[in-house]
Formats: sequence, structure tokens, C-alpha cells
Amino acid sequence: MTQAPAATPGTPESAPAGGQYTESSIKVLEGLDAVRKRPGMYIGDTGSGGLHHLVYEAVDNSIDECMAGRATTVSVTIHADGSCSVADDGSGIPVGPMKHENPQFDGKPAVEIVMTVLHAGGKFGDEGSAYKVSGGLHGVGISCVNALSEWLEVEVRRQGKVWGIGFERGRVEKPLHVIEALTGPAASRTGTKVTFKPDPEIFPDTSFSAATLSNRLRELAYLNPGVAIRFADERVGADGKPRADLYRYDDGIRAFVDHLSESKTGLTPTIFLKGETPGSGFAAEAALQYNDGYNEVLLSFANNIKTVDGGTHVSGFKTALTRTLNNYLKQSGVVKDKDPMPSGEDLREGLVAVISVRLPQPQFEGQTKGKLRNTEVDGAVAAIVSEKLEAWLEEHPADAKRICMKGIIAAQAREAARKARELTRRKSALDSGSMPAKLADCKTKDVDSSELFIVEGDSAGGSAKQGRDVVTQAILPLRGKLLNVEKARIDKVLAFEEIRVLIQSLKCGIGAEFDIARLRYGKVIIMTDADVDGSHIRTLLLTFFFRQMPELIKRGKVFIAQPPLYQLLRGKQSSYVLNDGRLADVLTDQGLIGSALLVRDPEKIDPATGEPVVLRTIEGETARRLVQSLRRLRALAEIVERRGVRFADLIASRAQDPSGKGRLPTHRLTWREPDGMREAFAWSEEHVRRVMADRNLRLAEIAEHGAEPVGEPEAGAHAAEAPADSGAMVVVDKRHVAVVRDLHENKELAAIFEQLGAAGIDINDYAARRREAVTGEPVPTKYAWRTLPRAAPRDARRDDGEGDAAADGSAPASAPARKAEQSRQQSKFVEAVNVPGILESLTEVGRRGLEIKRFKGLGEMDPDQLAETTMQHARRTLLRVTWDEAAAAEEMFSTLMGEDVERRRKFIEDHALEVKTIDV
Amino acid sequence: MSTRPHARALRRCPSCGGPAPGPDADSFPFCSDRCRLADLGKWLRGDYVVSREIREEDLENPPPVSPRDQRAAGG
Repeated sequence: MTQAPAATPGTPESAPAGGQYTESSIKVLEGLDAVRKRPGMYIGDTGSGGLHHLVYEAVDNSIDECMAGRATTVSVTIHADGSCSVADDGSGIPVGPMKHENPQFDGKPAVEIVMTVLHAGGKFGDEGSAYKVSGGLHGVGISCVNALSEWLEVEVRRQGKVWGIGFERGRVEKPLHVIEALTGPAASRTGTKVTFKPDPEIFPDTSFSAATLSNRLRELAYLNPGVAIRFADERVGADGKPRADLYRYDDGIRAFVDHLSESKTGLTPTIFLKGETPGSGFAAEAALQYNDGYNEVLLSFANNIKTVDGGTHVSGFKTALTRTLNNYLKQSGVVKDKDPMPSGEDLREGLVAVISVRLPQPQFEGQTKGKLRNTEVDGAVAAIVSEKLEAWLEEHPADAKRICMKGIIAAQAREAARKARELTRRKSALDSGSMPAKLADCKTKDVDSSELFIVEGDSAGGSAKQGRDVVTQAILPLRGKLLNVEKARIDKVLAFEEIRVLIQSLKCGIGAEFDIARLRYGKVIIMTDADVDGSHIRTLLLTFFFRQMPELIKRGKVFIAQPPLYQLLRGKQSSYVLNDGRLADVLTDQGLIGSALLVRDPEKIDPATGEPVVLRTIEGETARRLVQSLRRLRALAEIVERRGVRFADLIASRAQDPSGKGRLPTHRLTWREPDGMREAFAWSEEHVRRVMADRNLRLAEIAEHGAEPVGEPEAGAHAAEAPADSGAMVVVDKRHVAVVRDLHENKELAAIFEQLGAAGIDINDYAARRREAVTGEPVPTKYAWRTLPRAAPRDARRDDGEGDAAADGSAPASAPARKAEQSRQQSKFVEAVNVPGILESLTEVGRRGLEIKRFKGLGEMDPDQLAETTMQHARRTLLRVTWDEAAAAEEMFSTLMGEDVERRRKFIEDHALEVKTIDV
Repeated sequence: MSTRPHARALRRCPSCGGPAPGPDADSFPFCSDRCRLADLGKWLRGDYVVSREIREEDLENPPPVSPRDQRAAGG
């Protein structure tokens, strides 16, 4: 800075450059000496915090100029010599002489007074203050910076001139002087630049941290939208380069929240709330965003000052957030009665928020003055945030739900963590070594050879305990089903106590403490009844393992026991059959032994036998293959019927094949018309389009699935639940909505039809009925099984003394009835009227001589039977639960649990297609 | 055709209903361990109930009454 000739306007007296102090100057300096003596009282400390405080003090003055609308840009530069300058393009500190009642100050240039007198400056006036709301760092003023600087120079552009004034440790060193007179456009420019070097006598370390400064400057840029802050570090940095940044955020704290959320996955957009309390000069704004994490980031500011310890504005914000979200939760029904209510903390998980308030008289407290304590702020902030947030939630229901769900999950997790702790604590409180009383443990401690049977029902549990191998097999009975009086339903639930016992028995812990290495058993075997209740309990258990102990399933530790559903007795011989599907197979296999299928011409009677003429005889391997096809046909027909199509109609539809080839259709269309459901078949995609055009139909949009007009009988309830009718959609598009389904299974059906045809079985006989002659006598059937007289009749005779051979839980037949039955069974031919009848009559043949006993549950088996069929290594079959099967169980469970009726219906239907693989 | 009623829905986190990660993720089938914990809470609270309608044979040999009802009856 060049020394300009003394042309100070009206400043007759300045502090002399030499050591001669006047009385007045001593008094002036008194204040600044106090600052130098106890710097901590003014800037907190003389460490890094205090050092940077000097810069902030200067910057705050510039920001105030910006906030007052007099400046737009603030430049902060750390110079190579370690000094720092702060410049703005504001109006410049006044340089004219001040009229002051204190004779010491009277007539001195204003800039000198601002720089040398504590609490001097435009922001300290109440009325008529140059600044409405000022950050003014704790009000000590720039004079403190001056006092604590080895040197400080101020350059003011004002009145077409550049003015300079220099100080050393607070004392005027170079009185106010004109550095340069400005001409041209430059003459109208104004501004202030303060350059200072912190005094090493005060600060042990005088080097500024670029990171600290840039953080704070960026923060200020966020808090003061529109203000541009340049930051330059002319020192050579670690990377060998000086740095220069520009911070300017027109979106203010919204951009701040975006910046803080950069590395996170947001759940919501950034919400911006803003308001003011009329007449009080109080204004508050908050920006917030939720992310998928759990940490809470909440930054608060009052008049640009960072309130690290929060204060009344933060408490007002938190109160409003908790209250508003909880109200929304209750009103929107997102929270269920049984759910724990989220706490404020729960609702702030994953929250990133910035709160900024401006108020005329901020009061701070705390060690670092980092806490706002104005009591009126609490309610004022709460009122603004509540009102604005409530409105936002109303307008953004999807985001609101995500926020609420997050809080609910947090509350649930908190509760679960507490219970899980309780669970493990209770265990250790009793005796860490002891196992639950309900568990009948096995003797061996060898993990690989030991097995845990989880058994449905206490009585089955009792049988299993008696029948088990006590060395290797442990039994844990589960209560299973409960009567729900209120809803008149049977509930299956794993109660807390049961899950506790299960977790304790497995010994591998739960949640964060789960450790597969501590698993007590090599196999975990689920043993339930082969009925709906059993399958529900199995689904519950598998879902629990899949979700909470997935490692058990991944390592193949979970199995399903396969108790038989039937016992077949032939004389003293007994065998067990797993399920209905297998029983049907066993019976047809039995029936096939020595039997042949005859395809006959019912019109022509062979006079020798009195039976119709046989056109074809199918036996041996050919018959076996044919029976397999018939079984598959039965399964496919069931699927088709479950979709609401009569199988006979589907067969008949072949006549409508436009190509005249009698093929099965490829697609089925269903739609709703005012008078009910309609359907049509199509034989190609092109045909589908044609039908749609003819009938004025359109495809359902994915989003409309909920209102899909389905005509399946089992969906009757659904149809009633659907919106009154699809009229709501018709408003948008006059056409009816059609559902088009691919009939994938028809390819396989066509192949089966062909195979049957080759064997002489006409699929058109599918729904044939028995015909009667004019005399009323039944006409012989086209199909019949010829059973060899060898096996079946002899067995029937032998069984005669022992009981009803056809018994399947039916009451003992009366003597004449039994006789008739016996003669029917002994007849050589078993007739079949139609295609399904071929399989049915074969089953009947296979049933001969067999006593079939059905187990209603595990409890009906005695301990020996249970052990023999289901538990002993040599005889049992175990299904290892694969990851995919467990995932499917979980999916089924989710669907059963879900409230989406439509999805549940679809699921059941979809899985009907998988009958052959599920095989339950 | 463009309507695929049988297309499987995207897997969702069973707790929060948000998108779930692939099966290789540690938190699978949940989006996070937090959501797994929340789910455990529901198990421990006995929230998960699979139920069916009552049948005549259930009344012959009635199963124990649900504690839920007992709670309700006890106030």
C-alpha cells in the first residue's frame, strides 16, 4: 500500500505516528489493551478456534453488507505471508469525521473509530441501525481483530477515492489517507477490504487452515442465498498449487442439505419449509431430506452463527417434526394399533436437516456460545414447521408414507433389539448351560449326528419323544394352532415363548449375535401334519428361518420330515403312502398289474361273449405310458377349471379354430360388460387384436390390475370387492378393459390329445355320459379295463373275511350290499364311460384287496409307526429345504400376510400351475 | 402379449416395502439389517399369524384359545 499525501478530509487530529501518547489516545486504547490482555473473553481462545474467529469477524461484517442489499460478493484471501484479507463490494466503511459526545472520538474518521473502539459500528444501534438483522459475531466487532493483529490495513472505496488506514496491534500506524483518486466508471465503485496478520504474540500458531475456512465460508454461502463468496489461498498447498473457490448457492439451505446428502441414497426430495412471525422480525427456514441410513444430521444456525449445541430453535423443530409426523401416522392409518409409536429419535433416523433462524436479539449460552437460548424461538419455530410440514405431507403422500414407514421400522427395530437382549439375558440369568424345559434334548453332544425335530402339536411331540433315538434325536414340540374366538378362525402363530425356546434350543443366537458355528444340531427337521394347518406352520417356520437365520438354509441344515398320509394294508402286509397324489399313483399302478384297456365298439356285440367287439387292446408298457398321459391330463384339466374355464368348453372350442384344423386356442380374453363377464378364445395374437377391435376392447394397464375384470368363479368375492364397476375407467377410455391370458398349457394338451388319439382314445369322449337303451338298460361303454382273473378276485376273496376291501373310512357294508360289491369286483370288466373315467375305473381296480387307512395327523400314529415311517434313518425320507424353496415359502407367507386380496388371489392361481412341482 | 398377469412382482423388503437387494446381499431378503431387526420384533411380538376359517371338526377338539383373545377379554 503506497503512502499517499495527507489529504484526509476533515480529520485534523490522528494518533501521532511516534510514541507520544495524548491522554485521549490512551483512553481510546484502553479497550483494545483489555482485548489483548484477555483475548479469550472476546474470541473464545487463542488456539485454532480463536485464530479463525478473526476471519469470521471480518467476513460477518461483509455478509451483513450483503444482507442489507449493499453488497453481492465477499472475497477472502489467505496471502502467501500468512496474512488474510476480507473484501466486499458494499458501500465501504464511512471515512468522514464523526460527531461524538465523547471528546476522544469527536471528529475522528468513522473508520478509525470502528477499528479501534469496542462495540462500535453500524450494527449496534437499536433504532435506525444500518443492519436489520446482523450476524455480528457475538458483537465484539472488528476492533478485536485489529487489537489482536500484528498489523491491519483497511482500504475503503468510497466517494470516488481509495482510502487507506493502517494499524499495528490496534494503534493507528498510518492515519487515514487517500491512496488513489478514482476516475471513470471505477469512481462509482465502493467497497471495503480489511487485511490483517494475526499477532504471534497472541496466537501460538498463526497459520490459517484452508479447510476450516472453506467449510465455514461455504456454510455462509448456503445460509445467504445469492451471496457469492470467493475463497483463495495464495500459499502453496500440499498439491503444490494455490487454490481458488467460489461459493454461491441460490437455493440456500436446500442446496446445503443436498450437499450433506450427496453420498447417501435419498428416500425423499429435499423439503423446504419457511415462515416468519409477523411483526417480530423473526424468520425461520428449514430444509430436510430423509435417506436410507440411520444417522441424524441436524445443523442449526441463528443469524448465520452455527449453534453447535442447538438451542430453542432446534427443540422447536424437533417437537414440531415429531408431533406432525405422529399426527400424520395416526390419521393416514400407516401405523397399526399393535405397532409401537415411533419416538422423536425414531422419526429422525436418516434425517439430514438444516435449520436457520434470524432474530433481532439473539442470546447465546454455553461454553462455546453455541446454544441459542431465546425462549420465544421454540414456539415460533414449532408453529412454522408444523404448519408447513403438515401441508407438505398432504401434498406428497408417497413421500410421507416413506418417512412414516422409516420411523415405524426404527421403532420396531428398537423394540426388537430390546426383546432380543432380554431373550439372551434371561437365558444367562437362569443358567447358560441349561436348555429349555419343553425341549427333549438328545444325549450326544456331537453336532453333526444330532437332529432337532420341531414337531407340531403336543401329542405328536409325545409320540416323537417315545419313538425317537434318544442318543441323536431331540424333540421340540410347538403348540401350533390356536382358536381365535373373536374372529372365529384358527390361527397359527409362533408365540414369543415358542420362538424363544426355538432360539435357545438351536443355541446359535439371533440378530447381530447369530453365529452358525454355535448351532447345536446338524439337522433341523420340521415335522408337521400333512394338512392345511401343518403347511401353515411349516410356512411360518420356514419364513422365520429364511428371514432371521438365512444361514441355516444356505448351509442346508433345514429339512422337512415326510410323514405318510396313508397306510395301505394288504393282509398282514403294510406300506405307507406319502400323500393323495402318490396314493392315486399307487392305486393306478396296482390296477395296471395284469390289466388291459379295451377300446370297444358298443354298437356291435360279440355273440360269443355278450360283450362289445374289442377294437383295440392296450396293455403292458403302452398302457403304463397311456396312464401317465391320463394323469397329466387330469392335472392340466384341473388347472384349466381353476381358471374358470370348463374343460369340456375348451375341448369344444376347437371346432371354432378359424383355420379349420381343430386346434386348441392360444389365448383367452375376458372382459366385463354391463350385463356381466364375457369371454372369447383366440388362435393367434393377430386374432386377439381382431377380437379386441371387433368388441371395442382395450388392454388393461399395469396400474389397473387392481380393477381387473376377472371372471373366475373363485374370484367372485373379488368381483364384489372391486370398485362398483370399471365405469371409472370408462370415463377415460370408452372401451372395456380386456384381460388377455396366454394358454401356455394348451401346447402340452394338444400333444396329449394326439397321443390319446393314436391309442384309439377320442378326446371328444371327455365328457361322454352313459347311454341307456330304450329298455332302460345301460348300453355297454366304449372303454373298459379287463382285469386278469388271477390276482384281484383271489385277493378279494381272501380279504372277505377280514373286512371291507373298499374301506376308506366308510361304515361297514351290510351283508347284501357286500355281496353285490363282491360280485362287482369279481367281474372281468370294469367299464369307463368317458376319458377321465378310464383313470377312475383303473383306480377302482387298484383299490381291490387293499385296506387304506388315512392318518388325520401325526398324533394318530403310535410312537412306533411315527419312528418307523418318519424318523428312523433307514426308512424315512427327508426333504432338504433349498434356498429357492424357502424363498417360495417366504413369498407365500408374504402373500398370505398381505392385505392385497387381488395379489393373494393371483398367487393362488399362479401356483395352481405348479401343482406338478409342489406335489403336496 | 403385453399383459403378463403371471409376471412375478419385484421383490420388496418385507419390512418397509422398499426395493430389496439381490439375494447375494447380506441383508437379503431385507433392504437392511435394521429392517431384519424390525421383522424379528414382529416375530417376537407374535404378530405373524396364518389363519383359516374355523371348521366343525375344530369344535370337537378345540385348540387352546389365542392369548390375543385372552388379553382382549382381560381388558
